[in-house]
Amino acid sequence: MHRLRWVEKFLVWLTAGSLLLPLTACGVFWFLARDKASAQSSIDIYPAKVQELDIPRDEAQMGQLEEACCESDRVLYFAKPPMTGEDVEELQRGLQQLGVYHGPISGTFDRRTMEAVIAFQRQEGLTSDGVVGPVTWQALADDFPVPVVEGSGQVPEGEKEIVIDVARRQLIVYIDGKEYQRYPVAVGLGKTPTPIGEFRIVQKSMNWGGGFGTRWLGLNVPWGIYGIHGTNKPWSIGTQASAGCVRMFNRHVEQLYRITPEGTLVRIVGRPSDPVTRLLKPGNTGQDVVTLQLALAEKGYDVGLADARYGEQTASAVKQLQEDYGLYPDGLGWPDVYLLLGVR
Amino acid sequence: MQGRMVRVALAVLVLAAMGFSGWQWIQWYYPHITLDPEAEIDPERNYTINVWVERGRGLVKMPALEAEFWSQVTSDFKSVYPNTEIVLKEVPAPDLEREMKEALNRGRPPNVLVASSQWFRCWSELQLPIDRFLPEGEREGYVLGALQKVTVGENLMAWPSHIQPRLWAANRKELGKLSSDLASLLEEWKAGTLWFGDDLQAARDKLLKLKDVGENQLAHQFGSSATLVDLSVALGGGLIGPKGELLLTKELLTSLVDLWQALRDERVLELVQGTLLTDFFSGRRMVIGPVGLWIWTLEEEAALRGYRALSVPQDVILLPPPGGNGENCGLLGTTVEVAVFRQRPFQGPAQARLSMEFARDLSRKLGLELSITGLGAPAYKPLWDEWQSALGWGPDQRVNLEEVLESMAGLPPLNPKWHEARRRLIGEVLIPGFDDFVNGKVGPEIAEKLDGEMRTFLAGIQGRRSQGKQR
Repeated sequence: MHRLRWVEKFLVWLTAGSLLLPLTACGVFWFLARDKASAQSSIDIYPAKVQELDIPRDEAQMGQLEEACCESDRVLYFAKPPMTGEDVEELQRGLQQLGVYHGPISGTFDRRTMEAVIAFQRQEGLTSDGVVGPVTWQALADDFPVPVVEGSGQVPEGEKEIVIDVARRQLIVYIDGKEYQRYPVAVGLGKTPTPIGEFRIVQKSMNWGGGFGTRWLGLNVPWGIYGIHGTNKPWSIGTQASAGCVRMFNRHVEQLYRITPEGTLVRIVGRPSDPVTRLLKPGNTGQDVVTLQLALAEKGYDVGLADARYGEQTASAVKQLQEDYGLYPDGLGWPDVYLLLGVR
Repeated sequence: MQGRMVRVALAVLVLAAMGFSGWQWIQWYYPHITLDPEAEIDPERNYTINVWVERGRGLVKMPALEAEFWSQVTSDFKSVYPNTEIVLKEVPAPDLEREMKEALNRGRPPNVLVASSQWFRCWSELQLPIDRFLPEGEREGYVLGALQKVTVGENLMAWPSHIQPRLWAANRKELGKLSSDLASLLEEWKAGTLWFGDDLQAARDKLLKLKDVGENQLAHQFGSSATLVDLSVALGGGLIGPKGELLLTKELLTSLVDLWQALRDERVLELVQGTLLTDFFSGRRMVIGPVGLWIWTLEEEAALRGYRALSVPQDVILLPPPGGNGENCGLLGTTVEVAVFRQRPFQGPAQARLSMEFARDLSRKLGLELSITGLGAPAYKPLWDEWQSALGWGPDQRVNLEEVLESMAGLPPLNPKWHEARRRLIGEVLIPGFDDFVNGKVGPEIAEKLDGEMRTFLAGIQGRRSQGKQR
């Protein structure tokens, strides 16, 4: 009888222990990752915004948006092995420009980086845990001086057009062909370049926060989701920093948002990155299509907009070129067409 | 009696007045046209020269009216004739025919028309011959084929400006590797005599020998009927005789279609779609065509794209097109001409002289301007030094080009009526028919079909003429 009571006690303790142990572990994990959790929650608001704005809604497309723009922030902290990446580089640059980090821009979240983050958090009155989430990113951005651009008054009537010069990292607004405003921007990194071509603003939205800043102007680039938007990393403006989108200071993008309606033409000028190697035909899209369209336009053939879509007008321009040179006019992008156009 | 005298006198007066008016009308409608290079220019009078410029046809990229070229040309002319105003107007190529017809019907065509053509067009009797403004010494400066192309009857009917000849190209490296009899075959081609042996059978036998070099060494642009059309005109004695008779016989047409078919069946000639030029620059084809002078401009691009088998000009020589150097082969391809028109009523010899002089200056300057791109050559050879140096082309290239152009200068001239009939016959019957053949829509029976259609076409023109006579 006594032995049975002892066994009973043992089973009760065993059950309680097996319940308490995972709960404790979860609590500890939650405590350590609370900044990370808050960052996650800020990312979670995107699908809601997306739904509201009627842009791609499903998870795959949302992933595409984040992948295209890469503006959703990873939570950064000191870990073993250390975290590395362009976001760490951006963090180091931001801390360096604010004078709290004096190490190299290595892209590795090392001890010096963590100490700089803690110093900055202390200075700003934030939780000094060395973990960089949206609150810390925003505090970094808020401390960054934004160059003043004139032109916040009445916007003149007239046809608006935006030209983004990728090489100079500038965005220029034209109204009826006359320059109206000029802003510095950040463009895509070498491995994730900003798409070159002639696109239109097809959606406008505001206050997504985080890496997208305060305004979003979506472009109709056919192979991904790209846009012009604000940022929480203002020190990156003037550099190659994004995953293809065009970043602006929040104050500037707010001004641009006010100036340009949906449908505004956006010419992104620069050197298209993709070589033309495949046989292009109607229905194809891509940066190589832009290369072909720009080369046709340079030779005087009417392709309409160099919008990265191999449509009827592009096919018709190719046919005209083929006829002019005595080739069979089938409207397809054959090697002979590329040779005559000098596209590579 | 007195009343009778008065009536007679009145009748005489009325008749005299009518006769005078009739004479004046005849003078106005059929004026004595004086084309005098020495006509006196009245310094007190203001002259206006209306110039129409055709825009947007093929590889002829005319300078835009706001380009510096036109301000330079007009200011140069005005520095000599300050009392002249030049009025330029651009006419899109598709609208040119309609606008010209309307203007000609009103008797008010432009004084000067700049247009391009495959087969030269003589628009109307208001078009003026340039012969008196072209001294013998200067005449020799022109590419002979370009002059022949604008010859209608016994007159030169426009100023030749720019030529984009239709040619073939050969890989000199491969030619060097050929056995001696095959090499001489290609030499024959280069000299332009290959296609005019004793008969087409001989040409066919010789060409089939190319098979020894390897299959498909002779490659042709897929879907292009140009070679068959050119051969038809050359073999057919210029297609039409001086009295409008059809010179291209059914037998010749049949032989030609058979030759084409045999070359393809024996895999000597291959029709290549989309990769003819890249195959050539990779060294995979020995002779290709038709191409233009622009083949010489592709070297850098070909090298950048990795086709390093050939370098220009050492390895790429131009050949005349099949039919070249036949007695009846004209300058094939696209040309730009500057034509001069009078108006109804005739505005006088001074106006004609100014229009002619402006057209001559313009034709030469435009010829150079259009040729700087390497798409063609100036029709006036004294400009070739400047043209060549701008392109960096060497003396060998010039010699080669002159050789092939010499072989394209034998098209017999016709009077205006049959000149126009030949132009239309080629455009409306021959080209569509051969297009269907080369694109596989119709077989060798095309020879008989074309023969019938050409005869019907010419009978239609003859019929209209005889009906007109009956009336």
